[in-house]
Amino acid sequence: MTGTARSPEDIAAYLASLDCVHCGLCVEHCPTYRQLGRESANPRGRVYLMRAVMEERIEPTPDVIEDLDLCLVCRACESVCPSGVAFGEVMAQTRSKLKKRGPIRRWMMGALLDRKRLNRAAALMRFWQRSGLRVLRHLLWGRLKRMEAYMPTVPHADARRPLPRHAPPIGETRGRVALLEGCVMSVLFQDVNRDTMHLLQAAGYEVVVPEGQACCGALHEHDGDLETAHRQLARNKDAFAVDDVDAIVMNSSGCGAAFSSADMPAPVIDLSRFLVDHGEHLSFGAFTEPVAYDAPCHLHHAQNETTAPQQLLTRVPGLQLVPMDLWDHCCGAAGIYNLDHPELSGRILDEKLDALERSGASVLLTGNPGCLMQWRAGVAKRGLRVEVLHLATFLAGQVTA
Amino acid sequence: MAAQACIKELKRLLGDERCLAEPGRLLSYECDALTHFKSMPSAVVLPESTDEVQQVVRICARHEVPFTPRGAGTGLSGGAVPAEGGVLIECSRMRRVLEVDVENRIARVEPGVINAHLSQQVAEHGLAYAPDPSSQTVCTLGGNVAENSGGPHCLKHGATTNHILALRMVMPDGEVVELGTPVAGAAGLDLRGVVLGSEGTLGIVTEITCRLVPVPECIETLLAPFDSMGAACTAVSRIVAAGIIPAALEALDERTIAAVEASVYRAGYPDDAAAVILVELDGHPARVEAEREQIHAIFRDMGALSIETARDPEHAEQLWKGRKGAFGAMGRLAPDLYVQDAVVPRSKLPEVLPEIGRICDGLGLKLANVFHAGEGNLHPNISYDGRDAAEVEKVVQAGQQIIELCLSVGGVLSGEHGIGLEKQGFMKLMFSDDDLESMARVRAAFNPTGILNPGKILPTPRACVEVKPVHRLPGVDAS
Ligand SMILES: Cc1cc2nc3c(=O)[nH]c(=O)nc-3n(C[C@H](O)[C@H](O)[C@H](O)COP(=O)(O)OP(=O)(O)OC[C@H]3O[C@@H](n4cnc5c(N)ncnc54)[C@H](O)[C@@H]3O)c2cc1C
Ligand code: SF4
Ligand code: SF4
Repeated sequence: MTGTARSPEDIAAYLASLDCVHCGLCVEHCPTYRQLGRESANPRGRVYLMRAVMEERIEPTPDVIEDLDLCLVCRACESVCPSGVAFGEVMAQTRSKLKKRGPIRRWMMGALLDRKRLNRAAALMRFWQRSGLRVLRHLLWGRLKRMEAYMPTVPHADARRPLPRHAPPIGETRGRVALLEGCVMSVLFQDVNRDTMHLLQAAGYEVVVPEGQACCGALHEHDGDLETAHRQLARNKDAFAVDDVDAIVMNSSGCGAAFSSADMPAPVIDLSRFLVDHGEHLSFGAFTEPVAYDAPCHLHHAQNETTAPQQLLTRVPGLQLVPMDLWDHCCGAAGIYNLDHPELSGRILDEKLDALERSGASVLLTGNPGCLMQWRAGVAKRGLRVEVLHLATFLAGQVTA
Repeated sequence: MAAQACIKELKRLLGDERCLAEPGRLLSYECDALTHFKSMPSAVVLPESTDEVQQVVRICARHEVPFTPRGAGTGLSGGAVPAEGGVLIECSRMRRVLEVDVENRIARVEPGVINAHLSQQVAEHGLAYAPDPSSQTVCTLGGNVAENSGGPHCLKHGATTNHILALRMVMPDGEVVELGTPVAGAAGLDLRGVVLGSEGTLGIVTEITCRLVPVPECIETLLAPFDSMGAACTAVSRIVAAGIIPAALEALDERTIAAVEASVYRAGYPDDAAAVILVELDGHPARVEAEREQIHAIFRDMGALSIETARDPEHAEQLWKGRKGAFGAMGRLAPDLYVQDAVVPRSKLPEVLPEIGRICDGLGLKLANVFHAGEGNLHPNISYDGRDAAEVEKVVQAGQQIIELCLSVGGVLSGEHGIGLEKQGFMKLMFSDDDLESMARVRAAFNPTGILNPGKILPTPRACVEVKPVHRLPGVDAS
């Protein structure tokens, strides 16, 4: 980034980096620092280096690029920064300048944008998983091998079919909301989408799934591809400009954070908050096993929604929400971080799995597809008897009216 | 070059992940939380045991490469800034709590354990580690020992030195020594006490045995706004003069309140006050009640605008988080922040504070005050732009004038942030040549070659670290 003219975004990012006064109150909240212990792997060090690169005090040498790349962009540092450093913004801008993307990566990120391609890839994956071909998995290498290992069982085509465009409310009508199907969500977790829809209907809401909606672009932003991210948001802005929608309800915190950062045609609200505020008519059946909640970073830190999921759970009779250490720390999924940095991601997850075991929970709830996959892979690897569920799935299973 | 050979050996000992020598990684270690002193190490090592620290020290000593210990880098006097080309020994990976002896209320920990984590870990036994620097969620016990750190609750419970029983330390030649004993009341010279506050110049602490205190039966947090800082400070002196020693007694001024209220640590401090006093009482419920009544009377008498009591522990925590986030919150006012740290007799607070205001006004600097009022420990915070060389110069001048002012009313150079690089030049204002000579001898007894954390505390003829300001965004003009 030497010698070039500065765009307004560059200048904004630079000014944001100046907000850091080096107080250090963020460092212990950074999962990568907890593992590595080096300054350049914590928020204060990263801001320092990003600023130094922008000021051209240093070249972006490989060690700088590596330590910036090792950032999960979990934004835990923003939640504790007294000076209000917009860390995510500075990092996104820096990544857009420094990140190199090879062909496999471009193919992978491109697939997310196209429902047809994504479905073809899912079908292929399902075939691979169900035929005897998996015995050949030792022939895979690198990121592909890791993706294969970590991919949950791809659901049957029937279970992947698109959501109905309209679903009527159950009982008295209270309003109308819109839903995003998402990219990964729509092929791997369409059941979560259906459960979300069901909960909203049960709460008395008509649900619309607007035509023309697309991947939110959050993973692209995370990857430093700001152009694609902006384009996807613009597409969705048009798609969601439908009449009489009270809210756009989100069930994936990554997408929720992306949507809330844009000026969408209707208020963007996470499912948990929506049900706390508007689901007073829902009632739930009793559940008596110990449950832990793991906060998705893009809900807790990026959207600052720190209480709604827990509040909602208090409405389930008998439910015992057990405290879990590090519940507000990243699980290491972070977009496709676990594919890019399997070793560190595994270390971060290990610390969380220890906390899960100590908590004694038999059900773990979270609210983001990446976290679900990461946790499920970790729980399976350790052989723990803990069920990992999306909050929507759990609640849909408990709802009685 | 000695340094290159040294790094090679360190790499062999610790591997790439724990011996850093890459340019960007090193740059991130060029300063601590006082950013205007900068100097680059040639390597940073992250040992995980006393044994590894000892080997690192021996390697450095053999190659005559100076070395400096570092905790979380939240120090505010440049203590953990490396010698140019030296090795930085980062303790962040020595973070095990080795032993908790509930019966005797003692814990033995590694130096990289975070202050607040220790209290969290022993909370289930109804115990806590008392000293609570505002940086407690990140700073290390090793750093606390080296700075003899204080904190809001040290008014009643005493600073770090009152809570440390014994230390294991690697000497600058690699010898491992044990100082103090886990049982209070040692015989002989208190060498443990000498190390407390020595800012990493006598040895590298690798194990700390500390006292734990029972969590008090009853805790009450009060907040009182005033329409003048003078009245607030007089109230503080009167509380202490009445024989009450609250657990904590803190003051924040208008500008600090505004910065905190704009931050994630928003505490609900009143926005129309010129000052607020935050008081915490703890102990037996009857005693707390009696003290509360006395304090209420003093506050009313001094014209407090209101007196609020924290509703519940969460509310109290919120009030404290605001206080503890205050330094960082001031980052909202300008890119850089300088915190001065000096102590004056409590009774002088009402006259000293306006005088500090005049010094900063005279230099055109933006000042905010947030301080440990009960101890007369001032923290004037000056917001500035480190890219502006002239402004940096003014900040340095203001720092000096404030120190001279505090010393002139019978105050002390530093309350808790240490001397480090920043204040060695002022040591002569407070100590005679004989005093300094005695200190140098003590240091030489531990650290005869000066290879450990050179250039700190005692005035040196030429400090190799300088104030390096001015960096800007190339391609864009000054504004
Ligand atoms: C927001 C903020 C609030 C603060 N509030 C307070 C406060 O209320 N009270 C207070 O007293 N201070 C306060 N400080 C200052 C600072 O946090 C303390 O001095 C703290 O003890 C430093 O700990 P650290 O782990 O960051 O040490 P560092 O800054 O890394 O190092 C400090 C000194 O300790 C030495 N050192 C570190 N580890 C070892 C070791 N293992 N053996 C020997 N020497 C070692 C270093 O060489 C250096 O001289 C505050 C700082 C900030 C940024
Ligand atoms: S908490 Fe904020 S101001 Fe403090 S070091 Fe971290 S990013 Fe910088
Ligand atoms: S975003 Fe997360 S990983 Fe990145 S610096 Fe902040 S806390 Fe650390």
